[in-house]
Amino acid sequence: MNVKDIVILLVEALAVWAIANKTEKRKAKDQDRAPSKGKPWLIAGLSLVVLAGLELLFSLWGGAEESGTFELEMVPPQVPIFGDFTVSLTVVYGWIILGVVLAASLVFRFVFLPKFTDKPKGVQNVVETIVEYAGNYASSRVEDAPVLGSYITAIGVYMVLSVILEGLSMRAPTSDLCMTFAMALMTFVITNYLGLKKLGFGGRMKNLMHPTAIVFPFRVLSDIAAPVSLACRLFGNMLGAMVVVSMVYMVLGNAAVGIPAVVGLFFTAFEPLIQAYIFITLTLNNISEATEVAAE
Amino acid sequence: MDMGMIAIGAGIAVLTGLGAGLGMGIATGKAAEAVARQPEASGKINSLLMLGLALTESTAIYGFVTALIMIFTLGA
Repeated sequence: MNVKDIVILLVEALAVWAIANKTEKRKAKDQDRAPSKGKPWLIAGLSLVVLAGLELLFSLWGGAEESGTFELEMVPPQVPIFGDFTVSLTVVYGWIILGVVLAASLVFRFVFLPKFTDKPKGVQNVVETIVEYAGNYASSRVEDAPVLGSYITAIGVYMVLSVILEGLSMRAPTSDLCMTFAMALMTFVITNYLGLKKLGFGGRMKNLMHPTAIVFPFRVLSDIAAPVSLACRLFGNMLGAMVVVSMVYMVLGNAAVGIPAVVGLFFTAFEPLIQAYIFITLTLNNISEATEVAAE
Repeated sequence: MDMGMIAIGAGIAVLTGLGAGLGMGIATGKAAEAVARQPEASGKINSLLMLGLALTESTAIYGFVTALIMIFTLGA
């Protein structure tokens, strides 16, 4: 999804809104008179002309794109930081997200938190809603785990911000296998920490060989495979979305106006949000599986 | 290595989508039946369906990732 698609989509939406508004107003104004002829078509035509002009402008600005080319890198490119020390591009984007989150939380801590009142309004209302929702969702899946609300909020915020970054035509940090694997490893560590803390070593072992002792190796294997499956699921979905969107660009070539915005909205905004929800749900599921006491 | 053979292998790897598609279709159909039978339980059914779809989908995703890895690491 490119910046130009967003701009064009916005212009289209504005045009449609203007048409609807105009028609509505006219209807309200002269109810008993005959409806005016031709005016909405005029506006539609004007918006088409504006669209064509925008397209021309963008093609002059960005240069014509060749049809039938297809660029995809599975491993993101490396960028130098200090001299020879290089990191992946997605890591740099991840740092941008971290900086934004850090700044937002500092601002929140020193500007908004001292002004909290008993009757929430404005920012306080939003934050309290988010915290309450995350906490409720975590405790509906896992009993007595107070830290999990903040963990799943962190994951959700990271993924939402990476969706926004991708909307700004940067590569989403979650489309890097290293990043998703790091997140899955965090889940793995938290799962085992909470499981060991609640049940103890013996209890955890007993939990792993719950129906019979024969299933023990399989349960251990599936526990080890859990972070791999989490990481591969997220990465595969993000990369798949990228492939589909670049294929749409490849097919449309120079005529790629408007349509990629709609397709991209689904594949780069809606799908990652679903994946964020699934990642969070699976994390909580793993944890509740690891912490539940095996019934005799 | 021969690029054609790699392409055939990648094509076979993404055949996992077949099973995933069948499974997801069956699961969604059953969920629709369940909601029709008990509309008041639609919230629970929805979240269960989401979880099941995510787990089913992962087989397709594994095949896709395998195919990509084959193309990008063996072919290059």
